[in-house]
Amino acid sequence: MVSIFVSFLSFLFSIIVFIKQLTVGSFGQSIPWFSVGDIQFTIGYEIHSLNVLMLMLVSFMNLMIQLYSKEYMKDDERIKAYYGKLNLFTFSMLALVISPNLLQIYVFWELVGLGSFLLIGHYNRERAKRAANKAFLMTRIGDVAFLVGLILLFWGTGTFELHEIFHVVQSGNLSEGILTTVGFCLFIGVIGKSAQFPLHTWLPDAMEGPTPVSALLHAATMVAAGIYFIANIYPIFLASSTLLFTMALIGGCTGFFAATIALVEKDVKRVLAYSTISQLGLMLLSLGTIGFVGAIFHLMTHAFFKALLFLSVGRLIKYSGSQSIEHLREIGKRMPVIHLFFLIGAMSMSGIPFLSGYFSKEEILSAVFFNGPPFLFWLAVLTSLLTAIYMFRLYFLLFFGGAKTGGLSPLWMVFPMGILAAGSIFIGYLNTHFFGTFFSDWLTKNMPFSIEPVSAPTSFLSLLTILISLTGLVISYLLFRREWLAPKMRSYRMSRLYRTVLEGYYVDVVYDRVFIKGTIQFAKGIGFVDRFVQKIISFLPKTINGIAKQEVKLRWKNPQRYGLVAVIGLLLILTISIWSVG
Amino acid sequence: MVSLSAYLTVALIVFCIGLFGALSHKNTLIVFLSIELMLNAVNLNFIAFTKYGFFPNISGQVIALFVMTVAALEVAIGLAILLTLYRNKKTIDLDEIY
Repeated sequence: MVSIFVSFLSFLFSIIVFIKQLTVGSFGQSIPWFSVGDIQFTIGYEIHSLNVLMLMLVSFMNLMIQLYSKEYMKDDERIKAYYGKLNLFTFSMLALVISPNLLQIYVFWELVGLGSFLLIGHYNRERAKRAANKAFLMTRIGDVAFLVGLILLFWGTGTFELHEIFHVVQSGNLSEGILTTVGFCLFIGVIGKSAQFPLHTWLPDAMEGPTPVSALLHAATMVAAGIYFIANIYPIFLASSTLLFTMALIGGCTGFFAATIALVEKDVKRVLAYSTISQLGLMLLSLGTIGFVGAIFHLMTHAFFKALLFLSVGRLIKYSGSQSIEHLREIGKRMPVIHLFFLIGAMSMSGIPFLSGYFSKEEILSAVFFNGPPFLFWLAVLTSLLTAIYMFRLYFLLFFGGAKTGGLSPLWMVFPMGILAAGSIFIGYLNTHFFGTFFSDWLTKNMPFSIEPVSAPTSFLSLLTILISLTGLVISYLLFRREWLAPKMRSYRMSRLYRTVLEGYYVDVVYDRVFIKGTIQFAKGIGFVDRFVQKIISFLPKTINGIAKQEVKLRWKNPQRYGLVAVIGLLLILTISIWSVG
Repeated sequence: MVSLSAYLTVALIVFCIGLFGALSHKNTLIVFLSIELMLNAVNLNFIAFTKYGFFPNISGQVIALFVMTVAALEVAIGLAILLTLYRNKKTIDLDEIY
């Protein structure tokens, strides 16, 4: 397929750009786009470490997903449209990550939203359409704030160019108040895009889309855009400690909150969706506690294992045609390859030692430990523990059920998953504290702003990370494999708490009651006022119409009186004009 | 020597009589006559201005001649219409024509 070939080329070019960046350092170019008054708007590209990393990550993930989709979507009659949308999505993301100014970022930011909207609503089902609409609207709420922040920032600095903005921010010419407001507005945009509380509800619903799309959405494109964006304009956030704290707080709370939902969710893909929300929360927490490298590192490793998890689950879904754990556990056991891949993904995600997830999680925890308040650190620890528990819950439930059927997976699916599995294991070794922190050195060296490196995790932290993941594994094994406490679990399922968590803490219900119903009521009120105004307005033409009708009648019935009226009218006009002139 | 205002006053009076007649009388023939009266009032104005206007010259009299010609034509056609109307409807009262 042409599309796959093009994706391959795109990945190849990304690598070439990467090599150039390694040898030459950061580079970029801008040409004038249009000018308003004295202000010139430019369009161009910029390559520094973060950009080139995202470039490679996105194009690589896209390539893997496209290879996998060839098999997964082969029965779909709209496969051409599917590939078209996929490419639009990836294109927007690639263009987003190399944009050197905020205006350009905003354009592609919206395009990414459009791409996800199209892909989520790919299947011609009512629920998919609703989910697509929801995703679009929820992110739009954030985008409005984003736009406001953009305009404020332009008003404050007079430019959209990122490095000029950094210059202004670092010189301290911008007042603290404006900076915080701007940062806060932009942050709300990020909340929308990266599915953080309170705008997170679109992401679980977005699971109505095809599974490879979910993988792409979660691994590299849509939700990663928010994290990338914050990292890309990091000086703005660094300048205000209020902002950093808000970010850490929202990230940490969302992380914990989403992890608890993932613990009870019954739909496989929704579990993974909530786990993404939770992991994104951890990344934000890390960014909020000056753990720049940790967040980006985790973004990268997360891309690998989350894509791997989605693709392996996708294989099961493809086979059985259902997304619920109950159905899928019938077949899991008889698919050894998928079993292996899922295990690798789950282990990496839980932070089992010496897999990718372990290293990045350790990095995040150390950032929070050294720079954040203690309660956030313990929240992060708890989140990590929950992560391990729900990942292994999924694993034990899916692959140790009474499997009856099964089968080998086609090569087109196994190949990309194999690469991703290898990535999930080994990509973490780019940045370890035993062999060297190549990744962190490279990332911090070539950025347009300076980042303080986080101190290396102490042995206490390393030990804690290991302990967390293993405890999670053991708890999960006991609860879901050995079925300890089974009677208690059953009564627990009846409880109010369980239902609350299962419903995602009723956030959606509240939104429905407050915002949707409220808006409809509001619209009704406005409609009433509108009709009232309309009546008043329409009174005027009715009057004139009546007079005109009288006039016509007069002219035909009684021309002489008509003439008299005309003469009187003329005299009146003459009198008035003489009066006013004289 | 008669002043300009005298001419204009006479023209105004004649015009008003014509206007009143045209608007108040029910007999079409009288309405017709009244319209002629108004035309003549205008003619009087023209001729008065020929002599006493800001730029006295002959063109006012020429226009008066034109107006008279047009009025004559109008009368010819109008009377013809009235005749046909009378033959068909047996009346020339304005209220009863319709």
